[in-house]
Amino acid sequence: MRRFLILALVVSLPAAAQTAPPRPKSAKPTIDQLIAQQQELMNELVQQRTILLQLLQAERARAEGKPVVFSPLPPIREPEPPSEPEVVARTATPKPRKVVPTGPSATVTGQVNVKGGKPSEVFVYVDDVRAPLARGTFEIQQKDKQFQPRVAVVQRGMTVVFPNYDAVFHNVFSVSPGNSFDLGTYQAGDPAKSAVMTTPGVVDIFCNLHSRMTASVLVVPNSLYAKVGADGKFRIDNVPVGNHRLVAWTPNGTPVAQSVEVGTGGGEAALSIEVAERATHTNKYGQPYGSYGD
Amino acid sequence: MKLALIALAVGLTAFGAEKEKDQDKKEEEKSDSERLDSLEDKVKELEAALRRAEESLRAAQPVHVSGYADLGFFMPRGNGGAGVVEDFANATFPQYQGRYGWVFLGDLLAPVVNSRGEAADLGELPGVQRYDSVHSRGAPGFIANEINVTLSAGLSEQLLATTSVNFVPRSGNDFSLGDAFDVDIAQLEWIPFVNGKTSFFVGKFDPVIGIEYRDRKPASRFGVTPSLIARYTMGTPLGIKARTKLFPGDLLTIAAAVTNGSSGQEQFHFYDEVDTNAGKTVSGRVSLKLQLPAPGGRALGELELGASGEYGAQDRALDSSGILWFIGGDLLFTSSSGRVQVKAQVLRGMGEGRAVDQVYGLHLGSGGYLEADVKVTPMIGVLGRGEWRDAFVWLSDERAYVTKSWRGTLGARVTFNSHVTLKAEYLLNGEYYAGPQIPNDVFTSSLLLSY
Repeated sequence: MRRFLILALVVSLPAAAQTAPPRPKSAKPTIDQLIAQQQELMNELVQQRTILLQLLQAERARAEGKPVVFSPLPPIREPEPPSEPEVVARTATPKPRKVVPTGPSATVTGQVNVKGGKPSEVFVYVDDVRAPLARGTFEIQQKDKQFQPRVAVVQRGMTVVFPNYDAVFHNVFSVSPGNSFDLGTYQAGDPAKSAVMTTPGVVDIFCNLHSRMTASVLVVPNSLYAKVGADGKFRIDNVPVGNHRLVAWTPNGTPVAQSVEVGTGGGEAALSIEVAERATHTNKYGQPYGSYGD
Repeated sequence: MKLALIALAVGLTAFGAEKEKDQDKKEEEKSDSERLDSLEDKVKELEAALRRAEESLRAAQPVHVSGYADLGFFMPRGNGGAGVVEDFANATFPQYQGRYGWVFLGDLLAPVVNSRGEAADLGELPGVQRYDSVHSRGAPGFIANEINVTLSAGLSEQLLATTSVNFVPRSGNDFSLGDAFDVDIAQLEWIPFVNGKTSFFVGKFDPVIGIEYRDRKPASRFGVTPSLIARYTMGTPLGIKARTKLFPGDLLTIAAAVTNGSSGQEQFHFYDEVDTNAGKTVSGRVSLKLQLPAPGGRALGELELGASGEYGAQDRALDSSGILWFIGGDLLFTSSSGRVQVKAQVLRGMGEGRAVDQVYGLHLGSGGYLEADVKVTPMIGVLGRGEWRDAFVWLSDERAYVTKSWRGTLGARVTFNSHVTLKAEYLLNGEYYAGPQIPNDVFTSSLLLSY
């Protein structure tokens, strides 16, 4: 019986997949086509869930000595026919989505004490206000066997483009959890490749061919961030009133978090961050570069 | 247990149905723009997750395999492809009359055809039997220079094991195959400190002397052929080695090794893979790396100045009484953009020889080269190299080779992508003594397929 049930499941799954409508062939799916695809996936999930239920019911019937009856699978809901393609404007410029506070907001100011590093490479951001994925691009150049800039902050959802202006090949990659990518090998003149930063956190970026090429990108969850000035001071506007987690970050430093109470009159914070010597890193295969990796 | 499963399934269904209702309600409330944004967000996240899953699978491979196939075509210009001629009746160098049975002029390895340093032909010289790996007899031809497979495995974040094997297809003889394979690198590198600037090696590794070893493989060499002094500096000896970079910007690099034999190429007669005597060879190199500023604040490039040498028992001798040594200097300039590289190296050396063991003696008065590699565009590159070698090599009173050679090399390369490169060179070989010029110029090319 168990074998029969498994066989039924195996037979049913491809059948469910076959009955699903074919995917649109258009290279750029419209919103309706995307919705149709989502519906298609949901239908498949519903089918699989039904089969699982039937298996469980059959198992119970078998245990109680009752005859096993399979009810027909629910019909697949046909997706709505796609309407005329909708023209959607795309932009190549940074288009971070500003946090538009629904309630009252205020400005947070403060001071960061930096030990062992430059304040100009320290950023402060509000960690606990979630915003939709941002649009647009940010460029990090590969020039003179270095990344330029080597430190950057982008909002979650933005695309980071890595043009190569060197006459040598580079292979940009990151193994940072949530934002790992490997752009392959290309040189000046080849089309620039890019990676979408979807997960908040620090993205350590390297070249698989040149161990000295390093960059750090902080992916922040919203637009509530600021670069610390040369005097260590910062200012973040439009922070929703309430208690929030403020984080100071700099490359090679452990991020420092602090709670800040933001009232209608604003909030203030003082943070201290320490910068350490940059440790060595492995290549994209998790192996050391070796003595000769430059 | 089964009841619990059923309850869970029913619960899931009910929860799913409720969630669907909520979802539908929320969807209705959303505007088209919000729906588009939401869908795009979802698609972005799914694409990124898929890509990460694919990359994780690849990164999970414990061993990384790379390598290349180096395929060539060459055309020697005369003298049967050989780089030497006999000095009949000691007409050119009468001072050697009566001291050696045969005296030869020129350089055996001048008509080189590939990065391995193989000559188009070694010539039909009296009194010696040699393995002539190419043996073209002056004919133009295609050649599979070498097929390389390199395996590297990160045993930990501080331990890297590397092996590199060359397969060398050549003509057979008397019904036996001529194909060979040579273990080029078999090393374990230990990187003990987190800054990654110090390494210890054990096994068969790159030599310490000079800088040309960095370009000895066709995949890293800008052109096709090695220099006239490469035979002394591009072997891979067996032993132990240490290398460290000191001060900010890796200002100072120090490397030292203790090996069985010298850093000569294996085919050449100044090399001992498995030592035949107890004396080991000590070698070392010190280099300074300087950042050169340019007007306007931008860096012009990096200049590396090095001095190196080695000292040890004469290779292939049966005791350690004879000494073989080399000393040299090098220079490497790399422009900031990587478009221009200028390399120069000089070398002197001496080996006493040992007649009883049939070991050659060497007096390398001087040898060196100056090479400029320029990437005109990222795709197209050109190179020029000028060099000389002033050497006297002898085997007891049997034979001697007098070399006072110069060479001019012009080359070009086209890099189609990171996997395919086509290179070509013309080698203009000449002699600077008052004697016969040997017509041993060579055109050679290489199609490099890397993976």
